[in-house]
Amino acid sequence: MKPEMTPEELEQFIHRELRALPARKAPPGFEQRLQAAVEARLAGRTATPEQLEQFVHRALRALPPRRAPHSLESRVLAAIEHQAAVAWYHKSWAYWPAAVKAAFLAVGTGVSGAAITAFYLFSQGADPGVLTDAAGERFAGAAALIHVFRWMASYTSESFASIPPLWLYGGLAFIAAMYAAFFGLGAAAYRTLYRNN
Amino acid sequence: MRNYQDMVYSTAVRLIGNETQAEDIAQEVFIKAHEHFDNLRTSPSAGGWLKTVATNLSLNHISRYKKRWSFFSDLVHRDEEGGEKEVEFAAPDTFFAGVDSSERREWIERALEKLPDHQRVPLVLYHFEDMPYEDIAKKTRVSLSKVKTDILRGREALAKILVRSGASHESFEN
Repeated sequence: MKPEMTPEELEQFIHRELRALPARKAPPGFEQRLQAAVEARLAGRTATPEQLEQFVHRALRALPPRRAPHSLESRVLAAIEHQAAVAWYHKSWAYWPAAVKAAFLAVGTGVSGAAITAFYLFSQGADPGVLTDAAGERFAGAAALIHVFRWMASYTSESFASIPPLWLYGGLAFIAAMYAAFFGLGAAAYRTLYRNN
Repeated sequence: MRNYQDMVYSTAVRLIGNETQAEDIAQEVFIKAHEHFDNLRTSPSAGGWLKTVATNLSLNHISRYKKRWSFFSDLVHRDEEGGEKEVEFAAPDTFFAGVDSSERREWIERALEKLPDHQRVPLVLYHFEDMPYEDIAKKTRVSLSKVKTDILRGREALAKILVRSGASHESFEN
């Protein structure tokens, strides 16, 4: 080593001396200890499906029941009170009184039977005027109702007859196209704005 | 009602993963219970009845919601279907023995809520309701292999969330 050295020469000298050092020998037993440590780490880091199941099962089963919100009890009581206050005819079929259910079934069966019979007679070529007159004679009280039905039927058929078929089918096609377009737009908007977030 | 409301609410909230919707389901359960009050009042299995109704209503709610949005979102994750794979999951190196138990419970509940429906529902049915895989497949109307895969994936995801949040203070070897 020269007595006067520039910083660059000193750096090169130290670098050469350090790089010339031989590798130090590991202490006895180092290799075995290293191997054991690696194996222990690997064994501890990978869980079998059974271990994972047991771990998750223990974690979940240790959970106590979640506390219901304070509002739940008052909400249930209010809903029950509200339900009790609603008239039967505003509720679903299951809540109707038995007598009303029976009457509804009887009337429904009668109307259905009459409709099926009328359809059968018309299909056999019976005159609608004769049939409605016969029905009107038989059910004198319902004559006004039959008159209303007859007027509604004739008005609807005349209205449809006055629309050109092209306009009718065009209108239906337009409605179908708009429905499909809005459905597609809704799906695209959902995928873009909501799902991606 | 006070005796059972926590149990009913827990069942619903763990299955649905949404507190507001779970409260609605719990309300529906107790209204149904009120309609069957005469039978339930003296029944020793009232708790079981309530739990079953809560489970069924929650599953109906989930399937209704899924049907409504199935057109809009791809709920089937094709990459997650298929046979069982080896679990590659890193066990925690350090355990948080000092974590408060109530805090730890809160973490687990939140981790459960974070799971997607198709993993959380079978996982909850298996671990909380002790339902076998076959019954879960029937209830959720998916194949047996999909149920097994979803539960396995759910466990992995749950364990990862727990470890990440430091909630776990036990090792797999225990």
